Amino acid sequence: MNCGLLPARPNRRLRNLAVSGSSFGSRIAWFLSLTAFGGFGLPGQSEEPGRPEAKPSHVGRPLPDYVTGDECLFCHRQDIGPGWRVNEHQTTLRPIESDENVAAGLRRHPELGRLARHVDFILGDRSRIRLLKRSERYGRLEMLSALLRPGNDPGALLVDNETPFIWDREVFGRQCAGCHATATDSRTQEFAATGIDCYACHGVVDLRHANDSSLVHLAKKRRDSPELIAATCGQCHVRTGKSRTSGLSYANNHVVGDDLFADFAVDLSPAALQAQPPRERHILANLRDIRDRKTTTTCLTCHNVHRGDAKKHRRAPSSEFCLICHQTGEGSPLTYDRRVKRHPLCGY
Amino acid sequence: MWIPKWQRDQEAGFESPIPTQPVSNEEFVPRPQNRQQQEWEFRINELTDQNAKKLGISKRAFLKSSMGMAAAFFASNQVYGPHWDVAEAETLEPAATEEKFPKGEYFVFDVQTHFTDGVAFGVRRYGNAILRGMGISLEENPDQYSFPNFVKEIFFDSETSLVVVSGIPGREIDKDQAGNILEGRDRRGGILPSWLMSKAKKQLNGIAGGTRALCQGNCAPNHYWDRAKNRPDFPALYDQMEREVEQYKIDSWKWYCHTDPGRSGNGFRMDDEKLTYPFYQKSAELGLKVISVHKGFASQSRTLGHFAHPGDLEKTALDHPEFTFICYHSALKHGPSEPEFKEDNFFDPESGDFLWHADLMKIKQRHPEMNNVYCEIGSSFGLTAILHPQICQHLIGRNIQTFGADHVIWGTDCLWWGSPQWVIDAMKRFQISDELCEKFGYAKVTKEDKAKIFGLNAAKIYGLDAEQEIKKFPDDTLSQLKTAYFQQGGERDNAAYGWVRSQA
Repeated sequence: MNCGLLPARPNRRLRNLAVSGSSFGSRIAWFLSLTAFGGFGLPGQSEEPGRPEAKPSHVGRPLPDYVTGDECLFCHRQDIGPGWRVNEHQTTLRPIESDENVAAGLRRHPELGRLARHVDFILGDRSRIRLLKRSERYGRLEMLSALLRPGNDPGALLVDNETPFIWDREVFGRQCAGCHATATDSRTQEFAATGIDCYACHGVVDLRHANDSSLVHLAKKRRDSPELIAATCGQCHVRTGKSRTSGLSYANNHVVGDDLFADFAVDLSPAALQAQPPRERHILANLRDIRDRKTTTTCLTCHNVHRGDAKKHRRAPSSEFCLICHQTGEGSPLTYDRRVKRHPLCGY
Repeated sequence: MWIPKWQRDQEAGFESPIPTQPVSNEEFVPRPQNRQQQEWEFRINELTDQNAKKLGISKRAFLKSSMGMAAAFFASNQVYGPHWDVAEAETLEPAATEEKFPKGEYFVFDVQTHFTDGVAFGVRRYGNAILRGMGISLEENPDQYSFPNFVKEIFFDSETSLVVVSGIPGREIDKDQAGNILEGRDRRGGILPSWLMSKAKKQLNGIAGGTRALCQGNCAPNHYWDRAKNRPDFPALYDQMEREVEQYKIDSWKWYCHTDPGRSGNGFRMDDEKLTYPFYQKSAELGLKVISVHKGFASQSRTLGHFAHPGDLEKTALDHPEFTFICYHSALKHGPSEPEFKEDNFFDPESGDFLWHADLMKIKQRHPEMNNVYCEIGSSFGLTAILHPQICQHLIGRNIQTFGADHVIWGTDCLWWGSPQWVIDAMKRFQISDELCEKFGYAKVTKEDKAKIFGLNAAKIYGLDAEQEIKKFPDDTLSQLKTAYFQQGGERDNAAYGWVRSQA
């Protein structure tokens, strides 16, 4: 009567319980059966994992089922949990309750105060703030037309456009959901979860990764290719791209491991790069170099996503690449060019 | 600067026998152990050295004996104050402990036990630095989380007689793409799915020839979602509920309101009349009226952590007096290994309040007549007992003071913390200080209270006649196996690896 609960490595002490030739022995056979066989696989995991030769694509196909971030954090509550709650990927779209300053500023604002009780989420931060509420429809948010930015005093909100303010039902799905929510289906523009979930970067996770972390995309032990890393980060951080099939500015049903650039068109010409400020240009230049196999430096060489910092970039090998952001100047060996291109909608 | 522990020890010329800080896996900044924990570990080590020499046995042998366990509590008293009922004689004579706490004195029914479906869960490494101070070192591999080890650690290496195999967030998939109903492993469902808990229960009870295990079902109101209508897919939800109750024979639901495995886009509240109340209705029709719900320990959640607040128990418990609600972890918001536990606003020593637990207490204070909410103490008791005895005393003291000793339920969250014996020992030796009793009006915890907490209360909830069950245990196969296990030289692993330097 074995239910398949078999250990990968039999426990010696349990095995030593072998008692033969007694009535008790027949029942103890149960324990022996626990130790007599090999390991067992998890559901749907009969195939050996490996990196696919032909890159798959989910364009025009439904998104797969995946382990959600809250399930991930059941195990990773201690290592990832505390940092992730304040990580910019996670807070890119955050509940209004989590930002007391904005919530208080909103409540006392003469024009927006009456709308405060409807607001569920905040998008943006330092240069632009947008307010959103849950839609009655699945996987959608409605965005308020008010263009806000923080004032000098804590909690002060300045409005840059004029009333009447209306709730737009489509704009978030059309322009934002692909990178401010998780598992957005380009066809319906519906998402599965707000913010960036583990799935966005780690893809469909094999539960056996607990025993072998190389089964998870972007795990250190896995050593993913520069192309895969560039595609994973690029699905959101290449801001000049566009899906050929959906026409949207975010990737069409990209799942980590898919061939992003088969559908997501990006202009990597010198002129296109030159037109961008340094922050965008360094991303595009890295992408170009990886495409041309001129570098193995990737986003993860410099950026620690879970920690939310780029301290490691000081350890990256010096090259001309550095000069995209750091220019030599008189009197000072390096200066940092802080120019960025802000998105008109959210200010990112 | 981060440095491998072995390297640091080598460079410092001092090889610490126990780690003085949690060992990071490189994905979080290791936090230093505080002075008290360091001192505690030092004293255990000192006492172990001293007594092992006196007795002429190895340190290892000492640590895996009852004397080793007593030494850990004795050293704790030296550092934190006299919280534990332990005499110095117990650190030298096993008979002294046996006389004071005879084995079998309590019926231990643990309502929160887990294993995994072949996955090394990863959580043990966070508790290890703490537990090693008690001579316990937990291995971190799939075997250690497996069902066979579950049987060994829970039934052979501890005094636990009866368990509830308790759920972990996960959702079963009912059909394949061709519409065929899936069975068993094909249904997936996470690292401890409902179908697997059910099999474990059936297997354990089958071999024992009696009731040794109950099981929970993971199905929850937001697990099957109709995206077109943006509401629960009630037909799919009810199908799964029927399967879990009728086919799996589950004994309780286990909910994690702050998780969303069905990708509904949100967590759920227990008092949501549109979403959750139909679940109660269906469950009542199926004859299952026990809801176990994870409350507190919210940092595991991403954006849905607020759903782990116990506030929604109030309305739902009042609206459903026929149901029993077991509030897991007694709603302790943060575990002692989380940074928030140490923040100023987490615990107020003046009032004895700590986050979210205080809110659970207030619910009962507002509704003294509400009799269907129970406080389970898995992880919240064991970990605070070690790391913050004062909070631990408030936890138990206030639970009893507010809900009554007949509404506090024993759970340990083991296998996560190895064999539950150390938690059982902690409860046996637990007492509330005179100072706290005087200041907060707590009563001393009596043996009768402990008997209720250890198992009699849970037995009532699950409709078991404790007296009858206790009579059956000594003759059943599991007890015979346990005897054989000890005769063949089986011993508690949890105390066998103390002070192992290479694992630091």
